[in-house]
Amino acid sequence: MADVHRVRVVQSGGFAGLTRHYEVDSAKLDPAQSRRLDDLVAALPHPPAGDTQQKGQPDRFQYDLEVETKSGARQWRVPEAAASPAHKALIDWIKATAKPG
Amino acid sequence: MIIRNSCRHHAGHPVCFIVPPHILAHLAKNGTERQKNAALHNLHVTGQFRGQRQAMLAVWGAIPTGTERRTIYDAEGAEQLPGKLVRGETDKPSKDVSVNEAYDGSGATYDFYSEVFKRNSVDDRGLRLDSTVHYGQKYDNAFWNGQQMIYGDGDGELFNRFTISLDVIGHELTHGVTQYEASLEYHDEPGALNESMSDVFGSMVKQYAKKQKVKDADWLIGAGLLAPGVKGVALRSMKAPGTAYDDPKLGKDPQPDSMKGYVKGPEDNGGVHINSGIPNRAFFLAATALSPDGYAWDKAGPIWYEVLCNRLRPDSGFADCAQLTIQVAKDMYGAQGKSALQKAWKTVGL
Repeated sequence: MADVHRVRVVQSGGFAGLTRHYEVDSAKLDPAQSRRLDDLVAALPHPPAGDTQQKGQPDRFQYDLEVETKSGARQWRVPEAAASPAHKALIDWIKATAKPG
Repeated sequence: MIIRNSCRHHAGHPVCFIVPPHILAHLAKNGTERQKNAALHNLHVTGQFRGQRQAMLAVWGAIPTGTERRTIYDAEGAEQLPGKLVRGETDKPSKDVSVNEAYDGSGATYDFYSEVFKRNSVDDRGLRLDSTVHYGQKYDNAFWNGQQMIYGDGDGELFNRFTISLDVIGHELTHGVTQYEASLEYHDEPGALNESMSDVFGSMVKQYAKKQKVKDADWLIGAGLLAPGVKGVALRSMKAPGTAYDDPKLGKDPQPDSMKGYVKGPEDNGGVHINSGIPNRAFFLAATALSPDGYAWDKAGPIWYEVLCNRLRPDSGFADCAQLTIQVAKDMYGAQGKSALQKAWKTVGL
């Protein structure tokens, strides 16, 4: 059974100020996708102590990321300008795999 | 790799050059156009580090005041900045429409600030206007990164390329102006004011280029951005916030038109693109009341410019902006000005 159960990404901000919801449920993935998701999540850094406030880069996206695993749920607020490669890889994959809502 | 050099400026600062600044400055003054561009690019990139701008003042003098200098780069679908240099000041138009739109739009924005407010570029010291186009893949966005403008191509389904609307270009450059002036913090009310300033001046850039009077302008932001088939007229309406679009894929325009509809919550840094509708509408109402047969930059524009440059603080909110614009309107235009602003802000709930 996959480590990761569900990943939600909320993209907000940007010039257009739109809010987009993306969700991937691992139960609906094929085995290869499920493994890929586990790998992407395993590469994430641990959540920082407080919210990171975007400074100096107006109109960039804001990502609110939630990952549910068998050991619980973790959240990150990820400003686009400060996204680590691991965050970016997961967010891009979730956006490509999920249907936007 | 950073090579330590015997910089004559800040001792020990990490920004050093392989080609020393005095050679770059000489090239910036006396080189060919290409050499000037390359030299100024080097000086500009390294001069952008905060706190070290002062160190570059000696060589900034190489740029004559009141002269615009635009440089357009092509990121070619990647996200590395600035990208490949594709058009410099006085270069002839490109075959690439995005490049030309970024070039012309930067020029129109420069001209507006220079002719209306005697402002010499974003920093009022002749800052180069750099733009990168074709950023990312189907990137539905444009932004100011503190140093330059960046534009995506849009996905083609919801959005066109982001250089297509002059008010988008004016909006992004105005983020630079705000950065050098009030420096409004980008969250909650100060952030919504920051966003509103960009829409207000971005809209005036477009109206100025088209020589449109207040009553003839559409007061829309991003009118050309929506792809064919999307149900909407623009991304935002300053005249009637909340009415710009209602589409199955985009959703409905969430902007409130008064404080009654103020949106709280964590998204969008506290709704900076949403709550901007409130001060946007206040500006539209003020411009209409002050210049019913004139232009937005006749009276309302100067009030907003004075407040942006000399009155607002980084943490100012809507009530501060209301109070300050009312005061400045009274100073500039007497009792009639004060009354017009009071009425405008009262209409939006402040």
